Amino acid sequence: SSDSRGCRLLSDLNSVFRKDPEIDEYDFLPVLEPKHNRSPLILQDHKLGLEMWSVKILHHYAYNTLMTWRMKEVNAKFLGQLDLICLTRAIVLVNPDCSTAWNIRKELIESGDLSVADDLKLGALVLGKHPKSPETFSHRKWLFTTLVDSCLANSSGSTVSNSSVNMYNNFVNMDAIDVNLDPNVQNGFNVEPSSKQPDFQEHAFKELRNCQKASDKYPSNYNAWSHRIWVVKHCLNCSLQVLFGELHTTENWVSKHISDHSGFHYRQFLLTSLQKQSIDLKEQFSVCYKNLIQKELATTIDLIKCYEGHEALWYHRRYIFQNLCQS
Amino acid sequence: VKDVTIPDSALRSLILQKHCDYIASYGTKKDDYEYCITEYLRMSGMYWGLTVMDMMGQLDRMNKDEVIQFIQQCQHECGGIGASVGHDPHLLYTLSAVQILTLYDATDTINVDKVVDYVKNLQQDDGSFYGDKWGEVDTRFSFCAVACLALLKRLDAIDIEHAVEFVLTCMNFDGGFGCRPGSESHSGQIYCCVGMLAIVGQLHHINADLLGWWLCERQLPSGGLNGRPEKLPDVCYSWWVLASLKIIGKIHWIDKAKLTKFILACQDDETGGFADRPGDMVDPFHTLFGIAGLSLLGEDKIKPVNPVFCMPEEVIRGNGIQLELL
Amino acid sequence: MKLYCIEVLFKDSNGKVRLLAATHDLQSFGYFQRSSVKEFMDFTSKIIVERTAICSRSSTKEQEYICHVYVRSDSLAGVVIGDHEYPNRVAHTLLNKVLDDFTSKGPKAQWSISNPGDIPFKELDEYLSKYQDPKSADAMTKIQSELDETKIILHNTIEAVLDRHEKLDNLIEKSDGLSMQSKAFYKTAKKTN
Ligand SMILES: CC(C)=CCC/C(C)=C/CC/C(C)=C/CC/C(C)=C/COP(=O)(O)OP(=O)(O)O
Repeated sequence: SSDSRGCRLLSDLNSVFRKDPEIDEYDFLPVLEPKHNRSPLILQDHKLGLEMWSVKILHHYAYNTLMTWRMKEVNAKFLGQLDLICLTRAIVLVNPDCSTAWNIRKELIESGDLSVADDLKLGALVLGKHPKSPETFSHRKWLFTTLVDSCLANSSGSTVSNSSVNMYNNFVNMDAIDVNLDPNVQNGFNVEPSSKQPDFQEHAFKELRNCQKASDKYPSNYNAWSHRIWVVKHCLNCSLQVLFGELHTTENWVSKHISDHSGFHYRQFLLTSLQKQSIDLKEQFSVCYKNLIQKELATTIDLIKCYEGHEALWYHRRYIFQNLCQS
Repeated sequence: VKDVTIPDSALRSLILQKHCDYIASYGTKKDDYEYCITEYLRMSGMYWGLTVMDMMGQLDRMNKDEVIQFIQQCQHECGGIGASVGHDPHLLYTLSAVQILTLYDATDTINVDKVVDYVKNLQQDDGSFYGDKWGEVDTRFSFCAVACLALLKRLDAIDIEHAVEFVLTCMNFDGGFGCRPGSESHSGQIYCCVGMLAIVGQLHHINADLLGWWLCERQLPSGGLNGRPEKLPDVCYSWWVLASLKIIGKIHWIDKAKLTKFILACQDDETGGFADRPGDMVDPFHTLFGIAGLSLLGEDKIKPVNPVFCMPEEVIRGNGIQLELL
Repeated sequence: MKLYCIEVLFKDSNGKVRLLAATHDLQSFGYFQRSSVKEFMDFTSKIIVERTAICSRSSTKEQEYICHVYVRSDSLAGVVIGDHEYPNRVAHTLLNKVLDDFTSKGPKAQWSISNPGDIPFKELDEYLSKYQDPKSADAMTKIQSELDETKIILHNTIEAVLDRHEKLDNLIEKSDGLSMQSKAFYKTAKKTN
């Protein structure tokens, strides 16, 4: 009976997603027991609520069904691609660190039964509820690598599947980028998508914002910030334009999250990356790296004076001094 | 300062027998939602439970044959081992399985050559390791690979020099290490990198004063340790931080009495087991690292622990594994 | 750093507390949690003001939040709820400003009989948004002299504010300001913690 209930819950969940493909948030509602004749799923304003009692039953059903199939047990149900998509979705919404469920979705993408864009959307939804889920971030890195590979294959007309770092250079073509350091320009999002790769950069920039959201939800979110570093490096090739944009967007963010060491560390990553390209920086933007680091020092001293007793600020100051001594 | 206050009612002595009972009964509630939802990491969960039982001298209460049979079922064609039956293979669970088999002196019950091949094939040109075939890179996996092969005495299978090089690219200006080059220092990642370097005898690359300083700054007024600046203390960092300090020869930089008090306060006197912080729910993960931390602090009711493998020292010695610590 | 709400309350001679004005910024909370969070903030404000003596200030921690309270000599009280990063000093200066401003909006005689909205105070919303950034609110430099920080009583939990025989769980159970859903949120949050 718990099984048939689970089966019904799963089909309710599926129809909610069919009815509203734009669900952008979900949560578990503190209702511990079922109420007569009322569905435990609530949909309001693109937000999905699931009553707590139903979450366990739903997960139990989806998980067992999927695992029996995966173990190829004799009594396992036949599952088609669509079943797999729905079962794994139900599982990761509840338990996003179940890597096997994400892996099955990877297989579905490889077989062409699921699109990368759809899965990026599901992951973003999951991060809204589980902002530090390591497996969700890990899965997204794979999605981005896949996206790069497929864009490369399309653009060169060949079947290149090697995603070596050099090849990312094609994606951030510095010459094609409008150089604009006006601070009013939104953080480098004015990068023109080059005709070759339809929306890869768009996805990458969106990913930076997803990371920001996850960092807002959970302080010192290690996985969100290191994922953001990965995106800047591997999807945006550490281009000066992007580094600048990020330096600019996070300036305000860190000054309002003064105990978030991860945010300050991210700026250290940006500064170090800019330092490595300081010659180009000078030539292309007439910006002297030294001025950047000195500005960082001034801002940090200002924050230390305003907000007493925050270790994160002092650690950042350590970095700046070390960096100043070196350069 | 972000910290906790230890309540006056907190425990001050070690309730060892209760912890044994807690772990022994943990696996018996298989219908539990919590048990079901943690199946994706079961192999590590078993390593935590079995290791802590061994350190408390009661490993014989666990069902050895059942455990070994389970591990056998979790090994895949490619040689890698998954967290549970039906789950995909991964370095994390491959290491846990090898650790368990080492505790039981039973590595010959699985196909070791295949495990070695699995690990070897996950190494990349830059020396880093994928966690599994899908390609995530993390210094945790460098540790898993090296620790696993060390226990199997097959370190020769991989390119150690490159493996070390990669780990060193993850070192930061503060002396710590992150998950990938450019990532923030984190006590857990530091443990992995320092442990990895210890196994392959390359600790001289570490600036022990600088790193030791950063690590001992993790101690908060409550006595507990956090994993990064301005985070709350957590019992598991008594392990990640303390073991790293032990490996680099700076464990005396910590206030041991205060840390002991914090760890003891994380025990639950009703259920047994340790929680992350005083008053929270206990679990096997924090129970292992609470006990292992106390062992490093010199608690004599617990077996001495090896700071690199987080297993009883006698098991590591018995296997003839030599480690040079600073 | 974040400010979640500002409230103005009146504490009558029997120690009973009534809400006169309130504003909230709950965007950072989940859609389904906002109404309960609001109820809990109002509930907390009320019990702390009830237990704070006339002419005193307190800052009480509760998990990720800090509730700053000032009860003036004329029994007008202000509450600001923020996170741990928000500087105490600025929160208490904001309380001074808000209470001064409110006083100019209507006669004191009305305080003991008014309900929220009776005395219009739309500036409260502006305070809440302007003070989200304490630095640009220009509070940092000026106030140091105005406020004696040592006079703020600090509490580590709400429990510390309560009388010996009082239990937070009981107060929550009895409260009519909290809906069934909010009480359930409290219980489930406690269980998973
Ligand atoms: C043999 C042993 C004991 C372990 C095997 C080796 C492994 C896998 C070690 C893991 C070490 C570890 C804890 C790494 C840190 C992972 C990480 C970056 C976690 C992110 O943590 P936070 O974002 O700080 O999460 P919290 O806020 O919950 O602390």
